[in-house]
Amino acid sequence: MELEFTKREVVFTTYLVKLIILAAFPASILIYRSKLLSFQAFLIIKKHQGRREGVAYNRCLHYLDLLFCLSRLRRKNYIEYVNFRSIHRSEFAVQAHKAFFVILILWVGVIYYFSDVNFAEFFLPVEYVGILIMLLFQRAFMFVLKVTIFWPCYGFYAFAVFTFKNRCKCKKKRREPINNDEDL
Amino acid sequence: MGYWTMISRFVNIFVLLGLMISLIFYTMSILISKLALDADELYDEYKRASESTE
Repeated sequence: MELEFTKREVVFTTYLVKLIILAAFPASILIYRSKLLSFQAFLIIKKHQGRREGVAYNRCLHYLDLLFCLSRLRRKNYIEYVNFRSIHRSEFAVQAHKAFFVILILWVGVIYYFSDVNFAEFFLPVEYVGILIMLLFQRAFMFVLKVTIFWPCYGFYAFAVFTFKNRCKCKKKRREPINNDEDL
Repeated sequence: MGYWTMISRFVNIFVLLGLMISLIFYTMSILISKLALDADELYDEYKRASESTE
């Protein structure tokens, strides 16, 4: 009798499966690092870093500087951060995508290779890659979410406006439209 | 900059952190189950299963 898979393949794949799971940690760090440079909010946090005094600076945002932990960006000031961002942003994004696609290809490869035989131990759950995808393409997912929840929210708003519009007793005085041609 | 613009920008960070934390916890839970995989045991089981089907 000849088996489809040798013992060597099975041993190799057990190590590979463990490696794929462990690779999620460095990949998530790489993705986080790329997000530190791409989100506008991190730029704002950096601007308020260092307990600067003045009307323009918010001291509450200083504590959000802790989000720069595990990164060399923590030591940089705003100007250095902006320069670093403009130079390295795309490079960091490419590295994050590379890390993710290596995991994805290995994951799909294991599933495809053992698809004939029911090796349930080697099949990693879909949610694992799903969370990684959501992490990497977060902006796209947030956009889709916004588009999806717009219509229910608008429906509620329209319902509220059209049912309660004329029932308020404290009507404000309507301002006269400004006529700019009057003086001429 | 208005407060709502600020808040909508910062929501992204909280979503990011939430996803990171959920990924780490989920990966830990898979790790616990998958690190105990034994290749010899698996191969014996596979051998037995293929023999019984034939």
